Amino acid sequence: MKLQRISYVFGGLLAALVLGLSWSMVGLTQTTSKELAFRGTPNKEIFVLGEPVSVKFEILNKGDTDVKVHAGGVETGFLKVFVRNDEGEYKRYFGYGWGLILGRMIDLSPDKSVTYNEVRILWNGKTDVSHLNESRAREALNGRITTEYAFPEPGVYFVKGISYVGENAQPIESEPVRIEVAAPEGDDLAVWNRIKGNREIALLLQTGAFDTGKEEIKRELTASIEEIITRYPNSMYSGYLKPNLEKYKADELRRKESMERAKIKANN
Amino acid sequence: MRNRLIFGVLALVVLSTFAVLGNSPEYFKGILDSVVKLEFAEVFSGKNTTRKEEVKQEKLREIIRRAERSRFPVVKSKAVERKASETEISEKMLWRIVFDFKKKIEEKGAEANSKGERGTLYSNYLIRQGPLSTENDQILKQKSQQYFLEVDPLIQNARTIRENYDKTKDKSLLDQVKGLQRQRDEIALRLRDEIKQAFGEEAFNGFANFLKTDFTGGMKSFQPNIPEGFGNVPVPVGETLILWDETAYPTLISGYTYLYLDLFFSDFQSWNPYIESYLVNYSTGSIYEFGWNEGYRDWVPAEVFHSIFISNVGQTYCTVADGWALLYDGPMVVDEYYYGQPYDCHTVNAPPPTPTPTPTPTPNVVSVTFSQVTPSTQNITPNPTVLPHNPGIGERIFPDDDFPDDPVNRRVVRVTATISPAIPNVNVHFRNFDLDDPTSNTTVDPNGTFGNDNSGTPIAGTLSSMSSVTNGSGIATVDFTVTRQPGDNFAIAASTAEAQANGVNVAGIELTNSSGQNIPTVCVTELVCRSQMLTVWRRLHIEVDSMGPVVENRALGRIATTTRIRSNEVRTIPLTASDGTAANLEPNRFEGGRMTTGFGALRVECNLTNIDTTDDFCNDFNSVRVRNTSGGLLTLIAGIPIQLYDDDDFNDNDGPPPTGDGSLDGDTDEDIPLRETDLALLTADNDDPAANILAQAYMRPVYDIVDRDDDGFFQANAFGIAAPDIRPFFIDRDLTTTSTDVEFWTVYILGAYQSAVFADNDPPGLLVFGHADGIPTTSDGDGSGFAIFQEAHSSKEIVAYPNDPGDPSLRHVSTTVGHEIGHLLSGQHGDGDIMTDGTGIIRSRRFHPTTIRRIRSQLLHP
Repeated sequence: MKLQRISYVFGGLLAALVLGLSWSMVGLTQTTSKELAFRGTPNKEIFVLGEPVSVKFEILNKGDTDVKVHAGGVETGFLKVFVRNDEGEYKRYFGYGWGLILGRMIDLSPDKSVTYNEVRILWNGKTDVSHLNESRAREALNGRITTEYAFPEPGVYFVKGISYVGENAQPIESEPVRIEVAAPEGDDLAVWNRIKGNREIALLLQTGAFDTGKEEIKRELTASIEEIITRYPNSMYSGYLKPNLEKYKADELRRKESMERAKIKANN
Repeated sequence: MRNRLIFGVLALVVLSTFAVLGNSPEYFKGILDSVVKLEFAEVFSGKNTTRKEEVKQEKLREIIRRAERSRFPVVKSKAVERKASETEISEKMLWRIVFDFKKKIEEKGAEANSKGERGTLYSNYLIRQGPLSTENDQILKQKSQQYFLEVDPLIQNARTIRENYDKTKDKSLLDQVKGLQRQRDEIALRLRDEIKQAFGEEAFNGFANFLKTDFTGGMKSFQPNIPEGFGNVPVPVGETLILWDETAYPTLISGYTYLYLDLFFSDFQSWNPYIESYLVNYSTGSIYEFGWNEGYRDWVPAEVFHSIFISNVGQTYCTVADGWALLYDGPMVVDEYYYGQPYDCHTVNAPPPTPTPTPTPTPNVVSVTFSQVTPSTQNITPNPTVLPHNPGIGERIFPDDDFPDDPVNRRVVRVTATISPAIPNVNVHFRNFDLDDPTSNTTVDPNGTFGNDNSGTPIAGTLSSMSSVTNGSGIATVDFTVTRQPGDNFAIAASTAEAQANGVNVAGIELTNSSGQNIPTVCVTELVCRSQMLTVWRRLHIEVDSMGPVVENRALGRIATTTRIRSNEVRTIPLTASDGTAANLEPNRFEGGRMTTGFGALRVECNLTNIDTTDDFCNDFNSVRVRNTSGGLLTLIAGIPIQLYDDDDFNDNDGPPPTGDGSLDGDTDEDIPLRETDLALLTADNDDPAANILAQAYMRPVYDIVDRDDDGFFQANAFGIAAPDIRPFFIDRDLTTTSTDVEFWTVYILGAYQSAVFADNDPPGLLVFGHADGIPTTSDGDGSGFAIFQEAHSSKEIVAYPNDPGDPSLRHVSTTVGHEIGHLLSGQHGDGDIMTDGTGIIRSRRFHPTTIRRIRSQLLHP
């Protein structure tokens, strides 16, 4: 009994120590300005492996003066997203098409906030280093996620954003967002086994578009996804695939018809 | 065993000689008597003897007499001296002697060689002391071999017949022998003719003259003056030769004597040739060697080859001989003819001055140069200066493909090392190095002044071999494969000494030898030489298209409600679509625009910057706020058609005077260009960083895709701001298969009109100037082209944009082109300079070192 009590005490002390350390770590890594609150909000806390993780980032001016903040999010490259697993360190994630729109800064008035477009995290843009020597390859991959998926396996992950504020574009970090990624089961597992590693399907899940420009591949992908949706209608993945495939089809149709009209007009 | 047998036979011969000499004192005395008679020499030798010669001959006789050496038992009572005649030696005899002599000197040469002596004293006699070339000497050697191949059976046959004759005295047998002699002579003459043909006329005549003068000493055939009672006697042909070789040291001396019997007219008697030969040092009066030999009838000559002796400069050496014909009766010598004492002398010349041994210089590498094995259309040339990062050191190479799917690997460079002196078969050792990046910028080159900072792999390139042997011109080559990354640089060191090559190190942009001294690129006596720095440059093949003339950049509709507007009055006009349905306009799109009707034009009136005021509205889905600027009252009757134009005016020619004509029309019918000035930062084949933004990253724009399509279609807005929204615009792109080609970098530039409807600043908001379809290092290699939105660069749009950097040049289309191409080369926002700083503002028209570093150290392909 006494021994049990001692173990309780020891366990409590250990927990307190861990808690204290965690607090101190949070304090060290928490770089949010006192005048600004930078936070990310996931659309949910538990995801299935291969499911897009959506996070909405917002900067709130808690101060009493205007602060320059970026008007654009990940599309401008001035909102950067970092991910770490339960034990590792944060690595930068690159989403499809991010960083290509020229950004600008706006004045954020007191008590006002800027909310960035929802960030969808799934497929990671890697760097091909096959042509580089070892030293340069290490440099190119340094600080970056090197797996295809941002969350490559089930587990606990933390997501944070970094943006730049003020006249001198000082970096500001968001509070970490904790998410859990669960292993797929049942129909989800069956679908996952079919789609894992497929970049085009991952991009459809994530953005509602394929990247490939090859019509034949698009047709094959479409057929394959439709078959998955039909066969596994209750799969979590189908819940993303179905609307995104419809969006893709509508966009494709719109683009093609528009281009055909434009060509006809040009020829006339 | 064989040696023992020979030794035994020789011993027996010597013992027999002693026995003969001891038992025949007259024989020995006869020899002495004969050699002291000067007239005997005149008989044997046809040489003209002057007084000087007579003195020499007398002295030779004296030398020989003192030696008291002879083996022949002279039958003095019958010795007869013969006079030489003036008759020429017959051709058949002469050539038999030549073939025999050639065979013998070859054999003696081989024998001498086998003893470790210089056999060429014999075998090269006709080259060294005669007129033959090496080639003709070989021909003669072959003919001599052929002669004996054909004649040896005849000799054997004749010997057998003769022995039968000795037994049977059957004269018919002698006729058979004469027949064999004729065959022999015919063979000799035939081969002579073949030699003549092989030598050529001139060479043959020279050789024939030599044979009849020097070789035979001018000796003529002996015309017998047959004394009564002696019957027929043989005619002798003989000579003594002194052999000398001063072509090598020590100089050598030897001698040769022969005696043939010709004209086998002694039908009933058996005469054999016999000679005794002395090799004499005339100067010291000493005999070096004595030898004797007996031949067989007229078939086998008597001949003596002396041994090889080392001679002394300035001393005279002679071969002196006595010759006889011996008549046999069975085994017994029953008669003799003494033919006299010929001699041949040679005074050894002073050796040619010993050439001062010039020290053979150790060959060293004096230059190391590069050339492309298969030259590119842009060959290896001097590396241009592109400050501040490239000081223009050494040479540059474009190792990429000349055209798509070019089968040639142009990364391979031929490294040529030249040695001095230019001699063949010298092993040259090559070593390849990665020199320091010459920039002093630590972002571009973080490891400072150290080498091994290339990005490609292997880091120092690849040598096909670490060594190579020089050819006859003293040139050794290896192949060297460079990496592909722009700005990677290399140098090759070469040395004839492997240890020196192994001792080379990189010291910044220099190579140092094992002593730490810089290795030059132009060498004289240095033990290691090096190439110039070779730097990789890449070409960027740019395909350019642009949209066609503007069509339908407007909204069509009708007045929904009849409205009267006084001059200068502002009213909100309800509208419908042309078919009467809801107009569904993009709210506030027409800010700054114009509405036209059949009754005149009205200006869209609003002020969106004053939020929450009454004039912060330009148009909504179904109405537009306009001011009557026609100068009079306007009545807009319901149902009349209208056209709504926004403020689009990409070339600023439709705005208010003086720059425009005041008639905004959505740029209708104006062609969308991509002007040369728009490409001002991508000037073709230019290394000036002000004209080629890529030059800092060791790249050159090339416009070799000539199919420029500028009227394929027009779309007022992109479909969105994602790659799938941009790429449909790349419909006229010709090079669709090279976007991921690592050896042929291509990008596509489209002159377009506006970005997506939510990104064209109509209404004021997001304004996208250009849009690349990806950053290859952040999106799995995507990124093949970009659209430049010309309308976004109109003065009205760009000035209004909050990110206006203030510098007009930074708002120019060409700056956007430089920015977007930076994305395709892996540049990112926030890199600085043209890729924007952390606030999103473009600060200059060049790549920041961060971008340069990304391009050079990461890019696989745009």
